[in-house]
Amino acid sequence: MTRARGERNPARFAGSWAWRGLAGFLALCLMGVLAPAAAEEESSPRDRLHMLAEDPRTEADLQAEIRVGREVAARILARDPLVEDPELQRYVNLVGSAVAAHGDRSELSWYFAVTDSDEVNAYAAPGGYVFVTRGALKEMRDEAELAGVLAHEIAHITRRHIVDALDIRAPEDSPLAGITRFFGGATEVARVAFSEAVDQVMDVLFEDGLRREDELDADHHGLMLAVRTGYDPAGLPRYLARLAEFEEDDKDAVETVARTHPPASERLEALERLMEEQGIDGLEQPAREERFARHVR
Amino acid sequence: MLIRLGILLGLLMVSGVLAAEDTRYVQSERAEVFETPAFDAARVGELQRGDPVERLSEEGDWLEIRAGELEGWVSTLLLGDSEPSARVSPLHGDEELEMEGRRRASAVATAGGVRSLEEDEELVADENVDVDQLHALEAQGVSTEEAIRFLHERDEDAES
Repeated sequence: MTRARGERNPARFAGSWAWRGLAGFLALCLMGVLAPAAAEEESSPRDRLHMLAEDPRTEADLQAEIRVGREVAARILARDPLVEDPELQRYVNLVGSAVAAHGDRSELSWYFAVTDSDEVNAYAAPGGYVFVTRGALKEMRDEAELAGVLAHEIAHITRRHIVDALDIRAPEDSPLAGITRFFGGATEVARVAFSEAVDQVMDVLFEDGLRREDELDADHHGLMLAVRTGYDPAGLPRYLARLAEFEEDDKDAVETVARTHPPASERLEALERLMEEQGIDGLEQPAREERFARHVR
Repeated sequence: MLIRLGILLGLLMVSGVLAAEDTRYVQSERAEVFETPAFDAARVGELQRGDPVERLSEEGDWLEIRAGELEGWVSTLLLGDSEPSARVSPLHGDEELEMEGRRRASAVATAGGVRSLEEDEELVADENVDVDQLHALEAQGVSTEEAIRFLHERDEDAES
């Protein structure tokens, strides 16, 4: 599926020797993602690296983000596997991809998953991997709520909250990484650093959470994203109101989301202010309740 | 005369630079253009990913733009200073993760010589990843075109 998508959206250097060369180079250098910077001086191997790939930073940073996010996704799925319901998974992917298409990171391939967990939660790994639990889906009443929740997660990715918080980037900025790629001696160090980054993302998602302002920012941009896609603006607020009730009455069901996010009531108030400021509180766009009911049972 | 010509040329160059700075590019797959800076305003058109637009003015989160014959307001969140990047597929990483999956039970580091990438991976093989599930997740991804078609099914659904 993704291969086909790649064909429709050819990479800038697709098919050229330059792309193949860069891909090979990235495959080598990305092993050193997140290597610590240790030397100040420019080294000749590093200079050569810069000559080998024109502007490697942007492309390589993006590859680093995807690579870390992909491994995080594989770890999340080891904890909570996919719900075995291809129709449901496809439906969530269609809603999520439609929302993501209205965001500003069209360079990413987007993947959405319903995971087999009773807990009420949703989370996003860098690079385009978005998860919503079966428990969360059970609490939603219409497609606008689903789109709103997915849009919040998409916004974490488009706004690069985790990438910036953990400084996930390619090793080109690290002089040490440049040297070690050539001599191989400390690639292991770089690889361990990569693995640690994956651990840190997991901690952010399941233990520590992001900064309060990042969560409120994801709510803000998520709501606007859902509106741009054409959904009822009140989707995410409706879901948050239900989450707030859980926080009052059934804390266990929302344990992780409560630990990693500001209180739902606070988020709800911020969104209500935003809707009023933007003049979208009375905007009539569909919630798609019937279609949601047909797909989510 | 020469001085005037020089000034004229200078002004032309400066205006050219300014014009270039006022060009933005659509970053989303599509971006709706509104008559006024509000989501409930009339929609006057739609732009596609990569379309260049000329900035006319700005108001809050909205940019007034011109693109050919089309003029209106677009959310600033959808516009960037440079053309959008090409789509990047994560699939090139498959071999590495698969290798990790296959070898995680028998991670043995070899001594001496320059380590290969595979050996480095063995050293940090992660037993907590599920590569098969990851592949299943990636296989269920849909294209943007499918998703947009699905989104536009709304009218016939509303009628049913």
